Amino acid sequence: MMISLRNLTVAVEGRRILDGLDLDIAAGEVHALMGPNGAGKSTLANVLAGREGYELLEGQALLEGRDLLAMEPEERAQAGLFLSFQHPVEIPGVSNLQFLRTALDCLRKARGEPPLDSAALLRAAREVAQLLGLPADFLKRGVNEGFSGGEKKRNEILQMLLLEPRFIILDEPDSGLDVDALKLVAAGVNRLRHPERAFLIITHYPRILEYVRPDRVHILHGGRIARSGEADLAHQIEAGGYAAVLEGTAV
Amino acid sequence: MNTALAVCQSGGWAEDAATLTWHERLAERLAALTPPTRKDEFWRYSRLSACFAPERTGRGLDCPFPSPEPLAGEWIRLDQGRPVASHTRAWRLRPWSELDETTRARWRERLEPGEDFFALRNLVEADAVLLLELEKTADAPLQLHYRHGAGWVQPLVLVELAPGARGALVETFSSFGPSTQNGAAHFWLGEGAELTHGVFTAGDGQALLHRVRARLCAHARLDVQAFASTGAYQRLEWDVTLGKSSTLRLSGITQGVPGGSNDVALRIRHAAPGAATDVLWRGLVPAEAHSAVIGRILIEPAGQRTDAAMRLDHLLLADSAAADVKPELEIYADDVACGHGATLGRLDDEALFYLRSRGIPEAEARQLLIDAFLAPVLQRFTLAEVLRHVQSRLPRPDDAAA
Amino acid sequence: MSTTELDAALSQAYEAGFVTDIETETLPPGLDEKVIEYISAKKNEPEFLRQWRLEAFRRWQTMREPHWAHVRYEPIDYQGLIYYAAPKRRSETEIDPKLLETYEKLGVPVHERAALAGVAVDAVFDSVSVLTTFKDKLAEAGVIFCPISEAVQKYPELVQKYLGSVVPPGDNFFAALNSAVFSDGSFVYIPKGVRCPLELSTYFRINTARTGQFERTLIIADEGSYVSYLEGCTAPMRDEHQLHAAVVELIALEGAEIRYSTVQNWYPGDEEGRGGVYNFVTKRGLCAGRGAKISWTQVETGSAITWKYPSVILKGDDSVGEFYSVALTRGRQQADTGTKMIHLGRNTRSTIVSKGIAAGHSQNAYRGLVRINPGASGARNYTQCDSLLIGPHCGAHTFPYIESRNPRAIVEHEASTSRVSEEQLFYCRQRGIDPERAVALIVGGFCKDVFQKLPLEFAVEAGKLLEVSLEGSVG
Repeated sequence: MMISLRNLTVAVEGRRILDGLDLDIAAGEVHALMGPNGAGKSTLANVLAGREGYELLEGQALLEGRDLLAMEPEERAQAGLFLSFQHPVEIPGVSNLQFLRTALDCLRKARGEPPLDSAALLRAAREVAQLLGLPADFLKRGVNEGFSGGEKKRNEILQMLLLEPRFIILDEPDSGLDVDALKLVAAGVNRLRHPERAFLIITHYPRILEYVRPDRVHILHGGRIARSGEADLAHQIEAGGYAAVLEGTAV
Repeated sequence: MNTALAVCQSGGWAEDAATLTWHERLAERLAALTPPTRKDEFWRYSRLSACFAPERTGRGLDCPFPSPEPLAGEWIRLDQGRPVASHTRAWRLRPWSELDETTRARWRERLEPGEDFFALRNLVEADAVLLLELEKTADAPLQLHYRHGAGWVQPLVLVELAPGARGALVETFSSFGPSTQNGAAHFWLGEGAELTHGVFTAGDGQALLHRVRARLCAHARLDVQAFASTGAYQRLEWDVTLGKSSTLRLSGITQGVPGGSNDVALRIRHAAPGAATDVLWRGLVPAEAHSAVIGRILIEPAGQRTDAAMRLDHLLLADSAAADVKPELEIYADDVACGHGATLGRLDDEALFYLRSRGIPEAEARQLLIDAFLAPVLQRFTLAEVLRHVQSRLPRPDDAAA
Repeated sequence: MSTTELDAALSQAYEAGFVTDIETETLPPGLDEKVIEYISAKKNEPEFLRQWRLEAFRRWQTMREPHWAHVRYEPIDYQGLIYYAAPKRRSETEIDPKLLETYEKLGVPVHERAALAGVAVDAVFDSVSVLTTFKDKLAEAGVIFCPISEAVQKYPELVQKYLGSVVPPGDNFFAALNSAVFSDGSFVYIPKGVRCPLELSTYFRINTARTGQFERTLIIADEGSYVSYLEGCTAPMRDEHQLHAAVVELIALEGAEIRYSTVQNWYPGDEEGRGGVYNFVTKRGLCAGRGAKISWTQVETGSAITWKYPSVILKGDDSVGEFYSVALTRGRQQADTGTKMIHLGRNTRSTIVSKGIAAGHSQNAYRGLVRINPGASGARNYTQCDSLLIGPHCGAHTFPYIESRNPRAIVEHEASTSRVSEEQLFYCRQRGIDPERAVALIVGGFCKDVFQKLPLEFAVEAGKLLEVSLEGSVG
């Protein structure tokens, strides 16, 4: 199993957001996590990536059998976890390329590999930037500095493609994107699909799932997975809204 | 109600034992102090000599003031630092002599002047001490009209807003003879109280120092709208301490007058978390005029989650105009977003040419650009009493044509 | 991430903290006219200089130490300091190998065959200059680069003409002290129209305990010439404070350009504030002629206390002044640094970019003056002044003085204060970057505008000082 969550129970400022959540994703699979606003989708992403401010009350999270919740954020990244942020932060003055190199150096060092040579990184980065329709000077610009919403999302995908993680959480990768940008983001994700990799796509709208076919769709409600199904579950949501889909499920 | 307040006794302070002892100590401290010099950072740009000119000093002389303009709404008139007439329903007015000891003790503590020469001198030599209290919401602003005309004039006004009270206070100043007014207003804003404070000074060749010290309790809000037009020498000071999640918005305009010097000194202290400060001051400096703005924002270690911004801009309108600006940040807390900006410059030549090329005569084109420069400040002025005065000082080309 | 972790991320071992075991000739502690006479005689100085020193000393005795800066320290016992310390020479020509070792250990290229062949070095050890490289090559171009004590002997007329012309002996307390007791420093003269073929560099090292270092640097760029000058400083770790009161004077004549860069890494003291250098320095340049340009770039990471304001007097019409500064304080360090741009001539321009980073229990202040005099029509200044706070126990302050006496000048000033946000740190760590590198990366980005102004060799050193790899430029 790539990722295995058991009875995950998390509170923010005393309020339970996740309440006994179970979820398994096998290597090679793409799962979508949907749910109404405020259901705790982003909380799950942040807890797995190790952001501060969340109180773990119970449960465990294993990434390929390793205890994720005991690790520092960078150790989780070094173990192969990647979070595409819903709202990526700006880091003025630090160029995208410099940032990528530093991240790659740290990741490779953790794996006992030598640093990547600069020319190879530059070539790879340029190719990926082009694939994502990002302008030529993009790599020189500060990380997310003055980027449009769409550029920020695509930059997350660019980093994902170059850092080649094993378990990827995409937190609303589609919000605020037009159709063309959405297709580019989806193409980036599809390019990285691999039998030894797994994805968790967090989204409010089923739109992106037209371009990235999920193996399973889960609905988060009441702090746990209230319903799971095949890809067509997303269409039911689109047709009838969450209320209809959740009708009759015990919470 | 139209109360003519009795002229307060000499010195303004009632002769109760506690006040007397306190007053004596202040007098001793004053005797050991000398007036500030340019070596003091807060007086670095001050052309103070004007307020010590022999014809503007001396004490006790009354001045034959002209008959006052009639006032509408709520108002108090202070001649030579002493209240002479008032009309208000919303506010409670009392001289020091009518206060109970608890209130007096509270205010004695709040009035601690530190090493400030002018503050000490105002306390020691106060012509009158007047407490204004607001319990709930006052619909109309209370207008304070100060007139000075002879020697040193030193009114002291204490203002207390009860928790949740909302009101407005407009101070206007005018002078009628060789004199220096060294006045002070102390504001105490209870929790959640809101005060809009208007200041209007008009230049007529005399000297004016006016200190406003404000303490904002949690969630209180102070909105200052000031227009300063120079006499020989003028200094307006705001010393504001912000409590938890309180807000200060301070907007002002300096309109220099040839031969005059105008100081603005701001000391803003964030002493508790979550407070916000927003300062915007703009100055117009004509020939032979001097304008200085010193603004310090101090964020104490307790002042986390502070948001503070200060903008100080000047337009120099002619040769021999002079402007000095010192916007300071002193920050001891890390979770803050603070910034300041300052510009010193002149009207944009390009814009001036553009307007003239559309047939607008130079004088009017200049006035249009000056209006545009002042507009962001004027947009923040909501007090009709201040705006009315300001408009009278800033004639628009339309008015001239009408 | 806790404050301690952040602090640890920014602190690093002071690598230049070793002591060179070498025999020195030192005067006993204390200062009077005899000491000044001794220094002057030791250097075989002409009468004018002896008198100049004595006058400065008499002036100094009437002055008081300035205390307006935002720094606090125990009173300095000026009679407890040593005013002259020099490594003993074996002979006139031979240099003690231990000295060479010292500079090699510090990474200073003192061998002419060294990799950094584009840099000529003057190495100052305690009170004297111990060697200067590439003198011959420079001489071919007509450039004079030598210890100031040597210049006094060889070019007394140049020294007499310019010494004290920009920073007069009575300018301030520390400048007066320096004028009285300065022992050595660098002298540079670039003749008319010459573009100096090498980067010039002086490396200052305080070694002997309780020694004050009072170097004096004088750089004259004649009409239409160009020079880039670099300065580096280190000192051993010692428990007591060391005083460094230098004076630097730059003169740029018509059309000349001087770029002066400093990487100041004096020993900052330990975490509790024991020891460290008091860096009380007066640096000033004069754009004497039309179109002259002086540019100061400084990276200040060391010293217990820094008090310095590299300034430019823009006298020539169309002259240009620049100041780019990074000041990093941590532990108990205190810095009060900035610049003065004095606009006298018409159409003079100045730019100020200051980046202050405060961590630990340190205090970091920018203090800068922009003065537009009545004659400076068409003058322009732009100032950008940013502070970054790391942890809740430090302070970051901004004290700008902006004074205009001319309506045809434009001055713009912007300042901001912020911190390394949790968001930024988490973002970096999520990408696998450890906290130390993440902080260094973010701080490096914050300083980028200034690092870009440093000569390449120093940019690398500066980057290392902040644990930042700056080799991230894209072709």
